[in-house]
Amino acid sequence: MNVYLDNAATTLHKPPEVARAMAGAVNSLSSPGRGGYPQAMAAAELVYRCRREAAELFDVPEPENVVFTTSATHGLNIAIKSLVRPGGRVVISGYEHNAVTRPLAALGAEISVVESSLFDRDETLEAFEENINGNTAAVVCTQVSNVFGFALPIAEIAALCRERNVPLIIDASQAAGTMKVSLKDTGAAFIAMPGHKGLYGPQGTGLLLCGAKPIPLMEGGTGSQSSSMAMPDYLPDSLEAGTHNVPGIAGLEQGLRFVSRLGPDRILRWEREKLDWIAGELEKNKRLRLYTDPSGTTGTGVMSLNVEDEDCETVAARLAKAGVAVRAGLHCAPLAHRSAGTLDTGTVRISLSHFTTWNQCKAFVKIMNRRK
Amino acid sequence: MNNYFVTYKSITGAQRAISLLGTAGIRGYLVRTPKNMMTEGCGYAVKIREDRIDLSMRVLKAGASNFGKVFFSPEKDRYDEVTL
Repeated sequence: MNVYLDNAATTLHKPPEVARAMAGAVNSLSSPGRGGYPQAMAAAELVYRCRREAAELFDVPEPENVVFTTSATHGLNIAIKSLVRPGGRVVISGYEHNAVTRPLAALGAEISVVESSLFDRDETLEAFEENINGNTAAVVCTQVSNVFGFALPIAEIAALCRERNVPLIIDASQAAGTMKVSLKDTGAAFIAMPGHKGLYGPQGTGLLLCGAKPIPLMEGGTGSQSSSMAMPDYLPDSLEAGTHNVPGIAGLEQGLRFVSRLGPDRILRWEREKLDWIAGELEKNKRLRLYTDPSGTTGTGVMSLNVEDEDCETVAARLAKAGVAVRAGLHCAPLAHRSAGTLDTGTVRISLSHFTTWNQCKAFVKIMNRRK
Repeated sequence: MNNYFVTYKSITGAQRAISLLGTAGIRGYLVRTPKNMMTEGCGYAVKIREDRIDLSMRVLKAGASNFGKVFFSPEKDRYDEVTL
């Protein structure tokens, strides 16, 4: 049996309508905003529908403020480079991905990392409170750690940022599709997310929700104000130079509809039910070290683990041979491993989706409990 | 029936306008802005029937729709800029 447990990287199994919509777009749609003929207008209609679907799901007051990107990394780069100047002080959580830390380092920002223990929301909030001051250009915070599934207290951090008038960038990569993500409620300057994880869209898609005025990351044709050498200064055109990924957006629209139909809360509940069962079974194995939330309240459908006296990459290779797909190593988030004390060892990460079955969970547990 | 054309710099802005009009029961049509209406090159307009324009403008203004200019077309290929 093939067991796919790397959904935090990419959800492999999508609702069937995703592929159908993509094929339909490849075969019948041209470019939005580039013509008045039916294939261009139909493409424009599709793109707007997807924008509106995202705006509704993520509480964005106007669909124009939903921008299509190629990934969360792309969106985070726009957000960070719009708000942070070289040398600017930025406060980030101790669970950020390289998609946050590398752009900040490249900018030469002064990075202040909020140190807090894994799964300790109160300590995390308190540490943010101590770190945010009048010189803070921005706060960047992941909503959920991609390594440990730790859901940070994002609503409280957002309230703190509003109170201190500091713009907040949220990395919703692991939260979108399983938790409430709201531009309106958080008052965030930007929220970035990929399309290919919890939103069940294809790779190469992403969304940036804009609550602040962005600066274009690249310039080019937009199909608007063509006689001007300058980029349009209004959304979404200012951030969408070049031809849209219409097949990708067609797939993403279906993924968004799927998530809206089921509801993020329900998807998370199903994932948690299975993950809790897996954790309960694996806890009996004394050779395993599981990184789980003792309170059971801050976790999501992602869990890290290690096997005694066995390198995480060796464990992942052994699992791959047995037909189980997981990800091992640092998961592009060395900061999260530093915070959790696993920087030297890395971890094996398992992550579920709506399409993970009970049989797959049982097969995984059985394989994990085999002697190496 | 003659038509009015409400211009937009962005296709997304024009699409939102159509959506706003739709909530008020008014049908607007997305069209490429005719060349002789353009000021900055490449744009879209929302075509609205003459008898719906007053209500449409109220809806668009109330919805903070960021439109550009408004043209009245009394005959084919003639567009007169108007203030509403």
